[in-house]
Amino acid sequence: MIDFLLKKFEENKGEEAIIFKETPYKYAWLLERISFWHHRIVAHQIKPGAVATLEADFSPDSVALLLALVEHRCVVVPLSQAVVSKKEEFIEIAQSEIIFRFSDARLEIKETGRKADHEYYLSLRAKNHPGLVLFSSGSTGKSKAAVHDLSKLLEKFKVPRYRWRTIAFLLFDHIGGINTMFYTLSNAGCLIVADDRTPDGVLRSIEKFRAQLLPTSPTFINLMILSEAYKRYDLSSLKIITYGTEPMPETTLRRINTILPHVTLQQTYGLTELGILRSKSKSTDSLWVRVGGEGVDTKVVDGVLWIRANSAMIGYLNADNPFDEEGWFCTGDLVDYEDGYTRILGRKSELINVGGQKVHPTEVENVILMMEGVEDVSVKGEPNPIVGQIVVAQVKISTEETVAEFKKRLAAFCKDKLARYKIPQKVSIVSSLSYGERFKKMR
Amino acid sequence: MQKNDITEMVISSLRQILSEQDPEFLTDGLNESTRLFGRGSLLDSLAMVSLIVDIEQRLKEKLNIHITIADERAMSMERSPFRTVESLADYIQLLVEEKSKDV
Repeated sequence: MIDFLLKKFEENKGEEAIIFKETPYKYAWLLERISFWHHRIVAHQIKPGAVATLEADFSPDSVALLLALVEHRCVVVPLSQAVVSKKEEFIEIAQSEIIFRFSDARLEIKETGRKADHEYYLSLRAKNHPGLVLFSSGSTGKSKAAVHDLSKLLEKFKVPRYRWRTIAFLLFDHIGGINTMFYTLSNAGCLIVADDRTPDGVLRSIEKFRAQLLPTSPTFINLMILSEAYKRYDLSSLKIITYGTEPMPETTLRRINTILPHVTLQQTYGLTELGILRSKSKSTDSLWVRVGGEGVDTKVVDGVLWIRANSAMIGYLNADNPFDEEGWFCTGDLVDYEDGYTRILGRKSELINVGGQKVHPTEVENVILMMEGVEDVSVKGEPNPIVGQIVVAQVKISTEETVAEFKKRLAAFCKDKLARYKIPQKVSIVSSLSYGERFKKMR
Repeated sequence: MQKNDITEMVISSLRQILSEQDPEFLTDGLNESTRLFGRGSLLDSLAMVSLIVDIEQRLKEKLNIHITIADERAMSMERSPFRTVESLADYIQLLVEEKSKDV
């Protein structure tokens, strides 16, 4: 199942595979550890097809164990620090039969006595394929558990691509983090685990370990700019920053391009349900992106992006099948589409309806971000009995203005840039915006 | 809170909303009987929302009074509280009194 990976590791035994707590681990080490874990799995009488929760963050051993479980055709359910509060619920939903828990460099193995008999698990066992269960963020309701056939998800990594020294920024249980790991290892690159995920922590790791690729989110890029952390480190090794998981504000993209002119900004597009798709930005300063490639079809229906992908999940464990008869999946993302390029406008569920007129939060955020003294902003809708919904903005500012003063300036600034109904009616000033472990703006 | 204070607050807030919309607008003639919302009124629905949000904000910041002026109750009243400056001031006074009883 992962023969192509093991072969690659074998050919690159002397190369660095993972850097963790400032220590490099080579591919030779990784190969040995995969084999070590495989023996432990067998010794524990864990059968192929078993559902195993892996409570861990990126580390040499968590990666080796994950690969050993995949090789053994298990279904892996990674759970990172970001979901600590929901751990028990997720273990229940996933019907985990065995739990591997890493804590303080120790490993606990626990059998739960559960029996995983969901029909998707049975179909994976029948095919003798390994699986992967990922939870959607659940920012708009309950988290959904997506079951993937890992042999499909791994398919695209068989095509050799660039070898990068990459920061493992997105987490172990996120489709983006999983993608970063497989992409890096399948090309014999080096996965650099940043144990401190603040801008300073991440940029220090880039400097120290000469990282070339930073896969991250627009929110983190904005924090990088605000903290001016980029001024404190040598980032000459950095070649590419990829960004995804939420729409990129134009202002942030322009600023980071000016600050790091030698770095290419590249947008990625992926979903827990579909995997990370191949994508290519029109240019480093463009929000237009080509999404897809082999095995992926896209279409736009009423402004919403639909995708059909070979790498798509089998289905949810705890929700209805979201695919239509022809296998299309509605992403819920509103887009503009032109000459094969897509521009992501935002989630349809976050669209604000002011008296029948539609407002994209990102459009309003983009304008407010252009104002002097504005560090960050989050725009959303609020119910209002007169016009249905009104636009409200939470703003982080660096000036000493009162809310009333700032609101006045905002109204004047937006007047010739936004239609009247798009200008926030309610404005509050906050000391920080909430973005959580995934560095994604919460609306 | 006296009715007069509330009326003054409504007029002051109204003056601000109107001058933001049109700096040339003469706001001297505003008084209790000024029509706010409805036929022949000064405000459209968006401006009405702005006015209400602004008044709520003033009450909160200056007097630490938290009320929601536009809600289902206000919308379903037989005689809309949003007709004139006076009717709005009356309604706000009612809400403020109810709020003080709660405490």
